[in-house]
Amino acid sequence: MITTLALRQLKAQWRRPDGRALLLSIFLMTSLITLLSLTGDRLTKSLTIRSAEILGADMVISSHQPLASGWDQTTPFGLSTTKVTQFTSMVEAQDSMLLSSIRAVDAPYPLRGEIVTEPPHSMDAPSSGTVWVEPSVLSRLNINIGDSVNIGYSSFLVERTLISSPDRGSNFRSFNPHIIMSHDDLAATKVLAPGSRAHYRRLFSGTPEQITKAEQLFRANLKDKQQLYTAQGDQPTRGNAANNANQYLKLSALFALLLGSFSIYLSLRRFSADQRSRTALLMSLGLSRIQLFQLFSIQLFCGWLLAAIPGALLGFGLHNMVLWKLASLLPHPLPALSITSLISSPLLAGGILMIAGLATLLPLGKTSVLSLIRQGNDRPSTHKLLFWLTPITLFIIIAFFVESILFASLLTVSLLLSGLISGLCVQYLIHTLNQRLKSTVRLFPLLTLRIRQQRHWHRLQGGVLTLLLTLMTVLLFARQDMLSEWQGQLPADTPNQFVIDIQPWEKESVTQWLNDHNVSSTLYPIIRGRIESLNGQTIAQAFTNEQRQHNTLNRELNLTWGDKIPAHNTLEQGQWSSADNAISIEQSMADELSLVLGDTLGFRVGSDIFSGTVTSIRGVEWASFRPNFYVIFSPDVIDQLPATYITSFRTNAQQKNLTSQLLKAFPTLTLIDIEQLLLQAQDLINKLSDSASLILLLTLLSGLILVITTLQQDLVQRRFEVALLRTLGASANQARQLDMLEYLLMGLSCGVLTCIMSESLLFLIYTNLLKLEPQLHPLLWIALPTLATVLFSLTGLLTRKALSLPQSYQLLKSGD
Amino acid sequence: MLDKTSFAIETHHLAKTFSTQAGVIHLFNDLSLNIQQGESVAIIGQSGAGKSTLLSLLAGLDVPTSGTVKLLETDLSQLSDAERSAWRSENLSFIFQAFHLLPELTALENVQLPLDIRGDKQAAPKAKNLLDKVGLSDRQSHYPAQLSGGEQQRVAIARAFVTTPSILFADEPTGNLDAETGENIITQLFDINAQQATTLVLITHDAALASRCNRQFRLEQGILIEGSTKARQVEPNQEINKGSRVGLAE
Repeated sequence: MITTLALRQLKAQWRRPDGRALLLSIFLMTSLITLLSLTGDRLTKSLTIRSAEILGADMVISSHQPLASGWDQTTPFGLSTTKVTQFTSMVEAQDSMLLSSIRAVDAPYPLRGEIVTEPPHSMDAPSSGTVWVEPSVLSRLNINIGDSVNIGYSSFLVERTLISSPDRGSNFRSFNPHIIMSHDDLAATKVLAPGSRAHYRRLFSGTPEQITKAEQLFRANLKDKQQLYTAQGDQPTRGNAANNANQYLKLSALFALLLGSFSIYLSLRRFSADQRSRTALLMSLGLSRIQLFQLFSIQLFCGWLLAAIPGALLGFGLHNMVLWKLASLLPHPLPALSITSLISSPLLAGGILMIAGLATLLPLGKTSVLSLIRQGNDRPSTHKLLFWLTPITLFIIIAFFVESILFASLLTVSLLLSGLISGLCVQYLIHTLNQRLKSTVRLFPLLTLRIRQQRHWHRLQGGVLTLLLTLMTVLLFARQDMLSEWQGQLPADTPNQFVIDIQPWEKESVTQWLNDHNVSSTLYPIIRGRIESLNGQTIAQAFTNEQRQHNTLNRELNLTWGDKIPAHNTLEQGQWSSADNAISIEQSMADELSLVLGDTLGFRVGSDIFSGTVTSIRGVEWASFRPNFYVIFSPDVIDQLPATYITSFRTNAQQKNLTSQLLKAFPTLTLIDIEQLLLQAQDLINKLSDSASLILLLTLLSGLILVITTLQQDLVQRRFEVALLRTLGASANQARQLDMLEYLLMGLSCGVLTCIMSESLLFLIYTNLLKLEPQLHPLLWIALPTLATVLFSLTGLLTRKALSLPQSYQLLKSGD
Repeated sequence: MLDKTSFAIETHHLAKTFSTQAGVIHLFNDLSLNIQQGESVAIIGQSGAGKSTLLSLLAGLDVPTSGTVKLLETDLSQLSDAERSAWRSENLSFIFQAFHLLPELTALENVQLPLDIRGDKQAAPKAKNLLDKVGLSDRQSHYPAQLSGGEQQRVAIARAFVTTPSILFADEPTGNLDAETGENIITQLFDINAQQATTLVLITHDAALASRCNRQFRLEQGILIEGSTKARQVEPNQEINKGSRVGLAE
């Protein structure tokens, strides 16, 4: 009987706007959380796998010095291990020469990911006497599979073409055509002598637990200039992409959860208020409290089934859509989903529903039959303990879900705070706008009354909607502007090709060749060196821990020299000096390392040690696509050291073949096609921000549901008010006008505030993050207020019911 | 003449006071009233006289500031909350001014509901029988929204009698109906009441309606005065009724 009644009630509830809002908020929250947690789960796993594939291992120790042979034997915790030596060397075949990046590897290689070759292979590594080479090696040396190439003193059979391979290494060396050979053949080539520039790596793989243990041990024993990367954590190529993506997903999840919980709580509160007289009646007919509890539990459970299951399914569908969008960024096959991430979202929604349900529906048990006899003053008091326990429990659930109490607290507090501030601003704007209408609108006194009466809800609706619209706008515009403006703002002659590894003896002829082909360019020498000291103190003494993490201190630097400041740099402090041992340093380096004019920096290049005194500080436009340097020496300090040259230039559409001609003429050069890289970056950003927009759009929808829910809260009062107005002589038209005016004021206020907030945020993002010329978006000033007004009017119309005059009388008379 | 066991409602020195910002209001003080089983009693009075409050005290829905109420020999104030609810559902029924039918249930289902709640296997036939008695046998499967106001109240009456309660409280049962419909409904109400020998406590401001009851009381300024201008018959237990004429002491 209870079940039948519960189902009947549920069915009736579905016909009511507030019942629908409750189901919709559960539905939307579940689908959003499902989407976010599934995507987060997959993304983390994928990026770890991807990182491992890029590293070719779960963990790598690398050094510019040969690693102590001790590593070979030590495979603690049951790890698999192998070694790689990577170096750049000239290879030759049939009188052609090519600078290549060569990896000498031990089988098995790699430990993670796979080397794809043509024809396919089933070996652990190239066998002795053979090499696998990238297609560009074949084309640039003009050879085929089966021909031979010379590396140092040895000759090798080209056995396979290398289509793709992990562990390509970082830095410029990864841009050269790659060749993989067996480590056993390395010694015979005699390419590497003591002091040769090579990169020595030891790869490890194992279970995550093994890796974690080994990482702790290895880190403790890491020697100077040895570096350790893991696929899960910090590594040079990917940065913290996985981390950032996860933070974004968590932020969205938190937003969705807060909005969803709030909507659910408010809907249930409304529901509970509606149930009061019904509950009183049922109790007068003999329903016990236990039966009452069952009645509501069944309804909530069915509501959960109706909303959360389809919600989870939709979330799963959307998740697959996002995966499809990101397919090229993710490994194949995709890592399996964990069952927990699949069922956690519906369960979470159930938990929130249960807690909010308890808080709002338990007091109904205290309803008295009396309320059926005496209307009005019989409101079941809210349970004080439950009232405070609800947000706390909800918060704990949410914190548990996003896996960090600190993160959850910080974000919840800042979201609530910014929501509150925006809400207050919206309220102020509504008030101000309303005052302007004083003399023009006949309904002004009524409108003022309405605004005063609804101010609490206006604050909430305004805060939520403004925050959401702002986030949405900023995401949309930052992305669009970042791509289009950035490229648009680059001068027309911005280089799109980089050429590196120009040897000293090729300097004149390359310059000449480029001149002959009407390409203007400047060649800069590059010498790799390290900063060793400051004013006679070692790095450890002179700099703080934080400063020592700076790019210029934790790795080898590209040093150059010249007789003037490069034309595309600006002089910020001091004077360019050609005096002995004068150096010019870059502004941000000076700022971050607290360097001032007159400081003396000590450098080491190979075994040479020398110093330079800072005489000028330069501003450098890092995004200018020209060779840029932290440190430039005056002439006659490091000119005698072995250097290679770098240049950049622009090719236009008609000069497509120019680069391949250049490489044909100078086979040892390495060319980097910036345009290609930019296109890839653009594609990546597009895909990621599309997914981010989808998530934000769904969040906006849950925000709208919250707005609808809040409009429901005072629906009874609003209907009474309209009925009263109608019976007092207002036309149906006037009653509607009053509502529309209210929505218009809300929409305008939210829109204006959103404009201000978005423009300010965009300004900050442009100037601080993207380093772009900030600009205004006049389109927004019209679009946002319009959008906000339409949204409010739509949600308002969804909840509003026109009242006829007889209905109004009836409503006022019955009090129902 | 006095058979104590035959009292359906027995009150002694009832008082009810409210605290408001303006001070303490004594709605009534030292009010005693005995109603015999099977008797019908009307309480009339103007709006705000405290009729509904008195009803809620008599039905054990509200607790008096002092004094006692015994229903069928049971002092409800001695029972626990749960026991009180159970006792009420077993012995009392209510008819409200605003009908209070559940909109998603048919007429038959609405009548059946209190029996269903008790798990009565005969719920459907009993409910049909009652609907027949109020003349709605052809409206069983209609929803409240498809019924007129009068029909809705008849469904509510059928629902009130379907549990064969010992005491029925009716609060302005015709308040939302026009005169003619109200008259028909009251006739039905009294007919069934007579058949089931239910004790009826009727709250109304309609003197004509009140005159149909065995006894009439007027609640005026906290005093319950027995007898009405249109008393149709001699009261059977005049002596007891004297004891019920009590009002504000101060």
